[in-house]
Amino acid sequence: MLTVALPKGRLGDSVYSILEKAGYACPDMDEKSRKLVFENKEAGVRYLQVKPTDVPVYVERGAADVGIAGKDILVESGADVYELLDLGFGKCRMAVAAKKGFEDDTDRTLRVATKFVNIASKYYASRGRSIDIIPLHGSIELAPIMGLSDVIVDIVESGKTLVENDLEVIEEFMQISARFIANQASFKFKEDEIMRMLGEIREATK
Amino acid sequence: MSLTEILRPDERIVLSLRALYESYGYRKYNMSEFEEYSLYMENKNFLVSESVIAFTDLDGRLMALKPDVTLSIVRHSGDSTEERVYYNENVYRPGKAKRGFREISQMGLERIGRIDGYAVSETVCLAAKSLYEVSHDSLIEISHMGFVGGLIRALGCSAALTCELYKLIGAKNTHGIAETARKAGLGEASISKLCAIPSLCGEPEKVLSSAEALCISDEMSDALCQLKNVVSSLAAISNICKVRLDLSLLGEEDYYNGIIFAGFVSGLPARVLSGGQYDMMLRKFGHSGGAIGFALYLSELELLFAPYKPVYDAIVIYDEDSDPAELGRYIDALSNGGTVYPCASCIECTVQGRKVIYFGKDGVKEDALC
Repeated sequence: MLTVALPKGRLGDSVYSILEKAGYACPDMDEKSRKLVFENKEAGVRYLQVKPTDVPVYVERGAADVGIAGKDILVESGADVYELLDLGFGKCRMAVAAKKGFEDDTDRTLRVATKFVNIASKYYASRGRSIDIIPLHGSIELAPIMGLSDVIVDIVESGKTLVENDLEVIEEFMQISARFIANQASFKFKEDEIMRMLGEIREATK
Repeated sequence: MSLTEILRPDERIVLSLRALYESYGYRKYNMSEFEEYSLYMENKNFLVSESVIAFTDLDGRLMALKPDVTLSIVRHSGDSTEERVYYNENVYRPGKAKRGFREISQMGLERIGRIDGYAVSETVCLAAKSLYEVSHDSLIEISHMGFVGGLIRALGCSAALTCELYKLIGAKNTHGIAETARKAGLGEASISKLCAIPSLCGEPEKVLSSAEALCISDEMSDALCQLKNVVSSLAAISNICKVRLDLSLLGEEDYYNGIIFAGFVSGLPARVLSGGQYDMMLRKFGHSGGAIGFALYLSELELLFAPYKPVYDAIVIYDEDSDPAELGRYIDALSNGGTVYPCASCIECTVQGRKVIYFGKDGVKEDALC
């Protein structure tokens, strides 16, 4: 029995439809319910519907054998897991953005608003730039508009939200997409099952 | 009640491992809770975490609550000495969520001095026996730093690229390996070899055969030869866990050379044992010999054991007016034949027992379970 941590939302739905076609269907999951655990004993699979940011935690701590998480969430969490496959979808970029025309005064501490505290800290540490991190949980674009920060570090997909708020991308520094991850201990005891599921996903996402 | 009956599973494991290590000629090593902080700061890369609990001792020295045992043993061993020691110690490290420090119990052994092929095999064997003692559904995974290190050196990778590749290989991140190697300008043939490493895991025979096809240097061939020797030594030993190879298992290259290994128990989410040959650490301390050892993380085993809920042979509910001496005599006699839980009233009694005895002025009355 493989336990799969699926992120709630678009990404989880996309991956589930791949797994469903590959023989890992769980009929209960199609019903509108508040259940969070779905199991199909015949198919040897159990799904957990999990908040996207929690997928690496469930996998790292063995509550799930495998999971699907965005590269941004994976890097931010620092979870010690195997990253077995880049699924190639859910693509976006991690970027630094600011109000149009922003110029960085390197004599001053740069105020950086972000959900991705670890990613932003590491990025600016690699640049030797002194920063003041302002952790936020949503609507990050508001921060430079209201003077809370100089820049933001956030994911950018189409860039529409930035444009509509008169912000622009200054630099993109990380490519993001969905990743298939596995608990390291589970991999030792369930390698065949995990590799079989991986193979099905790889075939479907070619 | 006998000692074996009263031992909890974790206590039983510790005593069994003591017997195992001593039967192989290892002696117990006792150490201080504290070491000089500088020892850890100068060897940060060897530690699981850079965060260390430090304090100023009464003599003004900056000390630390030890986050590691091996460093202390190496530091206090002399050059050209042969040491075979085992330990059962607590170390202090940040928890996984990094919200605070934890006291972590670990047991392990270190062999310092002349490290030949037999010494390596014996140490891995003791690690495999230790895992088997914890659970029969356990496994040890073995690798060799010289295989991946040899490949990377043969490909002429820079230090920065090597560091990045080690992380990616350790995470079995094949797409990351390919992307990074391509960006660094490596050719497709080299990229293909690097990308093959994460899948070199599983049954020893299968892995060794696939790995041979990737060898492009003597260093890599020597690594496989040593692995073959360890695997065939283990095949001859009884009471050990399952053996796998995983050539993507890597250690800190500043410290580890040669064989490295990790242990896992079915049902536990992370490795419970880490070990390897670490001659390079001895060189840093100016020693000429070799060293090999491992640590079993006893704290990680807690999830294996059911919560401790004793069932007493007798719960004795006594009258508060009872003569303490008479009550004491009675309890003492009962405890010679089993476990007893004296309690002043039923309401206070929160444990389980096989029978209830009421002890009062009117005498002793036995009753069924309340």
